[in-house]
Amino acid sequence: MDLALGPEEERLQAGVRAFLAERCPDPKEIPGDMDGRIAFLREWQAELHAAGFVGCAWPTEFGGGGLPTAAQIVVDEELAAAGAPELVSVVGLDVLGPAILAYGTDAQKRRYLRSILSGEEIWCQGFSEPEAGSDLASLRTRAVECEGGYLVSGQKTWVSWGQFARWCGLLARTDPEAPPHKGISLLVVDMRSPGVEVRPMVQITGHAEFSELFLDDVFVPRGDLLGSPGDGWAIAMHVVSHERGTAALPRQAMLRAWFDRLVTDVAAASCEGRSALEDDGVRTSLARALIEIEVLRHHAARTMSPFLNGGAVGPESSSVKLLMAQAEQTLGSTALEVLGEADLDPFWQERYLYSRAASVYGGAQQIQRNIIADRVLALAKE
Amino acid sequence: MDLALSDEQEWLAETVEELVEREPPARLWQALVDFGALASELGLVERVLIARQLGAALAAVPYVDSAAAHYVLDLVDETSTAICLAEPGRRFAPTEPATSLVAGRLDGEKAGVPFAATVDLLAVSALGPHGVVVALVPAASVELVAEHTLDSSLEPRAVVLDGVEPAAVLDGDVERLAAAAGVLATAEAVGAAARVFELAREYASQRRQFGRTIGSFQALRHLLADLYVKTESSWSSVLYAAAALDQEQPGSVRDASVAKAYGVRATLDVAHGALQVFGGIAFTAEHPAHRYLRRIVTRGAQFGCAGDHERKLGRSLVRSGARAS
Repeated sequence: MDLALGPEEERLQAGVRAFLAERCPDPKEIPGDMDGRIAFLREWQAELHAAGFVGCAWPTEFGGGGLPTAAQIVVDEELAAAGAPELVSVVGLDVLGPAILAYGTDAQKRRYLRSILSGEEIWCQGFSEPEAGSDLASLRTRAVECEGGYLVSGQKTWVSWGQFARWCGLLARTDPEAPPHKGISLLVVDMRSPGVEVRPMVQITGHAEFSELFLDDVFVPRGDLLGSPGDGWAIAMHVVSHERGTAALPRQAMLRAWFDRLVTDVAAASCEGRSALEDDGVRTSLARALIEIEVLRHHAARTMSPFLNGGAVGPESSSVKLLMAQAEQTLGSTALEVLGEADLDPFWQERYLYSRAASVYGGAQQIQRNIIADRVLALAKE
Repeated sequence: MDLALSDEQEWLAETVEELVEREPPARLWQALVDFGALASELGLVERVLIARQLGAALAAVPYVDSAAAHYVLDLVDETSTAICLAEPGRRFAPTEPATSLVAGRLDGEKAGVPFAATVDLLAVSALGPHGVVVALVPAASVELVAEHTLDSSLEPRAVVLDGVEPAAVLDGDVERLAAAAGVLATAEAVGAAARVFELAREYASQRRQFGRTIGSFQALRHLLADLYVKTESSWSSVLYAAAALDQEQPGSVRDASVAKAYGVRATLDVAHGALQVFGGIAFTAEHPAHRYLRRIVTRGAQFGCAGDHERKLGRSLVRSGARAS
């Protein structure tokens, strides 16, 4: 049990900090329009990758850094704490890249991994459907075998970055006769293929970061099947459960940076003729938000420890996901409560609205509780 | 940052679990001392592992206070100790005691001191001529008043110090003493919470209503999942704070407040939720659920309640500016 960083991690941390002190863009530099923003974020990721801070733990032969697993967490925590712009290929980095690393053929690894790291090619995930949200295994998008591959038809939704993506990791039913979980395969769909249509959707925050995806007899070559036919569900669940753990510490660092910004904003706000931070009630509300953020760090670190020591993260990662959503929502609500709604900084409006999605995306809160009840507590199924 | 227990730490926890099961209550304390539960080489992480096992077994021994006192103050091995920080009618403020040490004599009152009547030594915070000190007082030399409490197995007493002459006065770090004691008290509460949660989980897997086990109903599955998260996350926070104090990390006293504030509320939620799962049977005196609840309430109140630590953390935001860690 060691809370301090090892000497190599410390060197890496110092390296990121020095890089960020020099190169981290001011958020004001990021263009407001989506196309400009994406172009900016691509360049930012390319620069970070060139400096060795993206894919630190991926193998060097595919453009990674070949470092131990903990290295990327150290880097991501620094990026988050510094308020650095997000990485545009986050879906590739966190979900589909790891899936390709674990289940892909050598040819697939060579084709796809490097451009995920450099930000050159953006990925999206085609999992949810209008009729298959929490009940994901009931998905209807079908992939029918044809000469040389599959023809895919169906509809996907909540496809983050869909309108900018070059590739989509798509769950489709390849065996309609098999039980729901067994008949699903994971296919890599070229978003430039004929038959692909993307319709952006505007979120409650006002941004259009996700889209609907329509597929009409889209051809996918056999070489773009990931793993074996019927493996799709297992692959998707494995990488998603893994991501719940690995993403938590960087997300925690981001929440902590937002919390610090909130304290600064509260100190500058006045209440009854003095700084709002002088108010005992305000301070206690802030302390409660801080406690949830700090406990998220403690619990994520303990849950991730087996993974950092060479093992795997199991269904316990659902507890981290639940705490993460809770901490983010408490922070958003606390900002609204202590700063007041009137003339609220748009940054906090957005944090508040976006936080409401935290208990829905990546497996709703209720699904996480089901996972814990089934797989950790071994309670009888309903 | 690695929060995995070492093989030795896992062994320690298992060995103490067996020891607590094996020893009759009257012999348990001496057995713990003989085992080395107060040995100076044990860090706070090892001590919280022991406290957790004692909480799970609802053991009635003065380990929490003794372990904190031995950890922070340089005491002779085997001395059982009760830590006297809280004062009646005041919020928990260990570094601002109203109790005074003037001309070598202690005056003041302390409250909520478990096992005060049976330990060897009381460690009393007091304001001396040169600042806050920890005075060591033989427990036999003070007036003790029994207190009402939810968990009478902890035998808490009010301590009246009326011109008492301490056996020794230490320039101990009262803030660190309070932090370590709070983390240990929380560890015991987490042990009790984890055990009553496990009993509730087993009950939900066996008890049948409407022709099926009640643990198959989503209302209870989700309740139990939430209790699991609260139990495990409060334990994570205890381990983190203990390791932070062991490794003298910056902000470790603050981490201890986080663990205490969170642990008090979370373990109480676990006890309340477990009682709900048991239903009516948990409200009979012979069912053990209420004993876990009582232990969690009383340990939660020791060394500052959740609100005390939240207020303290809130004040630290002002002092330290935006970046508090």
